[in-house]
Amino acid sequence: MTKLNPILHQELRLSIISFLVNAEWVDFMKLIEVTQASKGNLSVQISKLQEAGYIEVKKSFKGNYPHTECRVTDAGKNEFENYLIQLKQLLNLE
Amino acid sequence: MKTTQSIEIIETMFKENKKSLHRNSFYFIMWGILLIPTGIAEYLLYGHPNFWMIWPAMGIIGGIISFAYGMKESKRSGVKTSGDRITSFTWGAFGFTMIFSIAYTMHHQLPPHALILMLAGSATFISGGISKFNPFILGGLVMELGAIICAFVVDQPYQGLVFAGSFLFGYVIPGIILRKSEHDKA
Repeated sequence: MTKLNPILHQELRLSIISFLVNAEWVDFMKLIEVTQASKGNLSVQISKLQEAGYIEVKKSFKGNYPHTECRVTDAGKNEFENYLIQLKQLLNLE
Repeated sequence: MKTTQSIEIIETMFKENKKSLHRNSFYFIMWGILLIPTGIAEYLLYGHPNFWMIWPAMGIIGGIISFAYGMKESKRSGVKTSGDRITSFTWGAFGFTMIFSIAYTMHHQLPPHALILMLAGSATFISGGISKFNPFILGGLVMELGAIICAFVVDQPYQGLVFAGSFLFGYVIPGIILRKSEHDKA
């Protein structure tokens, strides 16, 4: 039985990586807008993806305000591709 | 989470990402509105000793407006795609080559229309290809045709008119179509 990657197989984390995989740098506020998640929940899930090495996080200042941007790493892209392959296999089995 | 739910999430996010693709109509409409009357004015004022001065004047006005708008947009956007990067490098190269071409044609006292149309047409064609927006691909081709007409078919007094017509079909009309599609999406 194919087992889906547990890091990616979670609603918000999958939303984040699916959005990032087609972009370069994306800022935190944009991720809030597209995922409609709360700041706290988004931060937690971003940290989990970062710990897994799937995304890279860059913190800086824009004017006087902190500015956080994310992008998917090569490892993250590979894992996302594997996730899609596994998903396809599971859908064929269903 | 069910596998079908995963597919829905991925599809939704891909659609959201596609919406973020910057196909900015503002620059095309603004430059078209500035340059069409300039081309017509050149035709009407041809022979006047300082008629050429309308070109750098419009270039400076357009440059200032583009810079101010670009600064405002960069604060707002939030997503950078590889398409955005390729587009900004294309237009960056266009801007640099354009300044050089204008300086070159002024130095050799040549009409600049064919070179400007050729460069703007190429950049518009590439932008259309990146953003998969056919009116810009066609507009770019119209501008290339305008460049050929200016280079080989008509004399200088009429080149301003060909230039204006090329910008109408290459910039303004595709820009308006794009603006309408941006509004429909919003």
